[in-house]
Amino acid sequence: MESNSLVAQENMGVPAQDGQNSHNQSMDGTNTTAVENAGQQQFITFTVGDQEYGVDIMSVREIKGWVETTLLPNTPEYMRGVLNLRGVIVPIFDLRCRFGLGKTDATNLHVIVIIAVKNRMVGILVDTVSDILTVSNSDIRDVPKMETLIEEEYLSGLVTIEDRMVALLNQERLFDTKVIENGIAIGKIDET
Amino acid sequence: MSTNDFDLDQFKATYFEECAELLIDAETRLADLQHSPENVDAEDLNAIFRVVHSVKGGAGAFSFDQLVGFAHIYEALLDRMRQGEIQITEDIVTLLLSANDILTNLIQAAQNDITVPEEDFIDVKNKLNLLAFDQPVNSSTEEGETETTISEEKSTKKYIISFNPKPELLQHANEPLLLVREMKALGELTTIVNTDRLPSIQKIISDEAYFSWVFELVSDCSLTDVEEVFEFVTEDCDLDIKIEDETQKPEDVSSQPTSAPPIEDNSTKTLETTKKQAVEAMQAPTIPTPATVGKPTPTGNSQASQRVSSIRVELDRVDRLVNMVGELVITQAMLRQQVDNLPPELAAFMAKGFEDLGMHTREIQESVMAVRMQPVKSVFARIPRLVRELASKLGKKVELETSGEHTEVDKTVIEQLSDPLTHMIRNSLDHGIEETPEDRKKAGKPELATVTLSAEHRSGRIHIIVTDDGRGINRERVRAKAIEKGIINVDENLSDEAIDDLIFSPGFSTAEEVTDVSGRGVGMDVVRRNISNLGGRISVQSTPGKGTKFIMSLPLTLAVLDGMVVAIGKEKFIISLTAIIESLRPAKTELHNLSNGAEVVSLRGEYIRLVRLHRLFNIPGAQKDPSQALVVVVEIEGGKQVGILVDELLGQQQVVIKSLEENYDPVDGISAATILGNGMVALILDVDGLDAMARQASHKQNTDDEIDNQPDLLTTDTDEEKSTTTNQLANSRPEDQEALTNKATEEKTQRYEVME
Amino acid sequence: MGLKVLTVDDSKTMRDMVSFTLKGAGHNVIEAADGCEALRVLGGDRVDLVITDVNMPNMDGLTLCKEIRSNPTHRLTPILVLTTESDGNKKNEGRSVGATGWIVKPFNPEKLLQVVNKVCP
Repeated sequence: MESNSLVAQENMGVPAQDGQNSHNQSMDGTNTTAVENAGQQQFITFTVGDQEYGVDIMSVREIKGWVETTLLPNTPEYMRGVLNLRGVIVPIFDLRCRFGLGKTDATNLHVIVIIAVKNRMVGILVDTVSDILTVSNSDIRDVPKMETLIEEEYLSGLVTIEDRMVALLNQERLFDTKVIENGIAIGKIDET
Repeated sequence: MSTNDFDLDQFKATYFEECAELLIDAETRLADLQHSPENVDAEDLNAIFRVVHSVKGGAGAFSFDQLVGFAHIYEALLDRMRQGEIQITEDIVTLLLSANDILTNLIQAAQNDITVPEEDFIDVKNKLNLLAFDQPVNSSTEEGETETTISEEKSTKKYIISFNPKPELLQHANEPLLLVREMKALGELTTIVNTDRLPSIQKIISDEAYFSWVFELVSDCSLTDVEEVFEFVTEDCDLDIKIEDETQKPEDVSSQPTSAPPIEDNSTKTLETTKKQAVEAMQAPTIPTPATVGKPTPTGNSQASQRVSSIRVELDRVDRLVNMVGELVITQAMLRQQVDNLPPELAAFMAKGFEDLGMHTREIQESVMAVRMQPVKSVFARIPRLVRELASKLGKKVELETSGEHTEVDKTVIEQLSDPLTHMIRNSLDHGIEETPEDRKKAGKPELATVTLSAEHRSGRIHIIVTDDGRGINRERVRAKAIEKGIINVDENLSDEAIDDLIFSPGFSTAEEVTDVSGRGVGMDVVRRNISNLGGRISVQSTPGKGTKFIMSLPLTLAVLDGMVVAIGKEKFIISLTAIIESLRPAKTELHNLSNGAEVVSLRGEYIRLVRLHRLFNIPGAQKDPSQALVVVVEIEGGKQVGILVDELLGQQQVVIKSLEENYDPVDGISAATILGNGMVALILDVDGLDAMARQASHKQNTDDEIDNQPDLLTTDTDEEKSTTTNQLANSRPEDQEALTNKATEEKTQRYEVME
Repeated sequence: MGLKVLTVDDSKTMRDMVSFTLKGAGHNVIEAADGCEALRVLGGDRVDLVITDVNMPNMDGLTLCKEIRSNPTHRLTPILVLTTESDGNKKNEGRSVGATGWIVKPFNPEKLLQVVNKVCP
């Protein structure tokens, strides 16, 4: 739970995004990893079970503790309902469940990371938020083709920090409307 | 010489926005003209003139040449009309209407950066030209102002300019010194001042011009350049420009320099003496006889007093305000709830304050909402054109009558109104009105068909009604088609209303019968769907041979809603109060299960289909026995009623409608969301959507779709029969029997659930 | 040293463009949508220049000219009339009611500044 200190009891805005972005000076142009045009990137990392994931810090709008949501009927299992974020209705997705690892039994120690995906705002339910990571683009590795896992297409890269491996989320794919729609369709089929 | 640093494009959005408003104004006023060409309001003509004038002005700046060219001619004609030089006849009004349509098209084209083929409007353009300039083709005035700059060779010349200002020059706030400065900029200037006229200092009147000058300007500039210096003062001075050491036309140019001769020199002004007329004269300078224009309205005074002072506010700002007021309402409700938890003596102390706060909040909310209220006029204004175009395309004679265009409704609704309304009108003209005027004659009706469009407020909603005096719905054909499309069964017995309502069925109108007019592949089912998504309803009433009436009923706003909070299991939902007719706890004997899987509640001899929300939404822990729960009877599209099964009612509350789709996708059976006093999100039920879901659900169980018909059937039964089991009911109809055998087991389990 | 300019036009597009151009040249601009509003905005305050459209509802540009001229405060305030009419009629009309000069549309920012320069010290 050491990383939970990152999450204040209530809401916690992500400070000084612009300031941190200033690290994004280009270092070299030879880089051919998934993300180009910037030498370094910053990610907020969080855990789901043993796995650590990261999202681009620029897309993170807010981090807050789990609160009860309102369920949306006939939506896929990983769609955990909606909550009121200062007057805006925001859908919450269970990342664990999204990756087919079962529904998270959410407690108030769990964390919702509110991120912007295209022009929408969504929340992802994770176990803990652990770190802010500054990574050189050259340290981001492609996701190896793993035949069994569907995860691969939802990841934009992998980073190894010391002995940890962080999987960087491709949130555009992960929470793309079409993917969501497919998810619903799948969910419906599963029901019957 | 470039405007690189000045990007005109940034003003285009404003321009097109403005054009849209201007066109609506022109449309409305043209419609007025059309209705009473013999009694023309001069201000209408003036206003239309100004519209075209403004359109042209902006178009010029953006170099929309085609638009400028056309607007110029159109404007010229309007100018002649408002000056009474051209009699207003029906033909002219028709021409103006077409001109306006073309103007609209050209503006659209400019917006989309395309050109309209000239042949598309050359006829109208020629007609306008003929009337405006008494000339058929483009030999009109200097269209686009091709300034005939005679390229003079660049050689150094010596201009001798004698300049003798009149008092008017100073009175018009021109300043001789500035002219000198300007000339100096052209070249080498020598000045000789003549002060002969200067009186002794005591006699000097400040506005008088006492000096005169002779300038010698050595410059390689053209004569035009020099003339331009004096552009504004040629009338207010004696000016003589001569070119020395030059063979080239050293003419005297003391009079009018540039500019083409006026178009109507013949129209000498007869300035009237009274002040009113003088004001009018200022506005329309060349008035020969104001006879045809009717009584000239004194543009200055009366208009000014009528004027409602208003400001233009960006919608964003209003929206933000509406949003924040919404938050305020929620916060207020939240606090209110907290107060109830306080110890009684404290609560009483706070109560008065909260009452006031509640009242003020409500008032602010209403005022803010009022800011967004707009008359439906802006939507109605587009309809005359639509009717004209359709009528001519279809070869029908149609007159449009509108009323209630000042009925106000929230901006959010206005925006959504246009499409369904357009469709209703299309439908009326295409299907409602008889094929030809002859057909109408044969039916003993006037050749000219009438389509009426009206708006009115009714019990907190707006009703938009489109009526035609056409042939009415051909029920036999509709029925036959519905059977053909598999929407109903061959032997299904439907009431007239039910048959009429079939036109809204999904799949009823299909591509093969889509005409050029009603076309676009959108059926009335989509119209109904869209309207119901807005919390509205659409229904049709028809009398064969007499006509058809579409009634669209919409909430006044899409921003707030008076809702009933209901609980099902641990979930809370909102049902719009306007949809709710009543709620009741049915006795067991009032519950019936139909053969096809539908459950109904009998209520005063009517049978109301039951919608089990807990089942549709998979909500655990809900009360499943209707006789232990509550049935909320709601009205759905087409005036039908269904009963929604809920655990309990938690009370009514005004809620702020929040979009679910802003961050997620549409969810069946849910129209929107809101935030309750405790900060939790609650979902607003889409009752029509629920009905559709319930039908689908029972459809799945039973391919034999008799649901619609069932209540009608049942009402014919006697009371004793009603209280008997559904088996007996089912026995009365062969299909039901079939259904029963087909799905017997499934249904039985269901029935037990209800009946036990 | 910017001038204080009042621009009067019923078209917001035109007001925006005039305003933008003048502000870009360092002038201060106040706006009015018609003659009546212009007079109200003007009140007793002096401005360095008035630029007005001719065709406007409520009070047209020519009437406005006359009204402004008849007020001693604005007796010597330069007034420019924006006009699409390139024929002499409108110019003469303008002159007869006291306009200082005119700007022939289509609107052109450079031309505007040029003319402003011409009539303002």
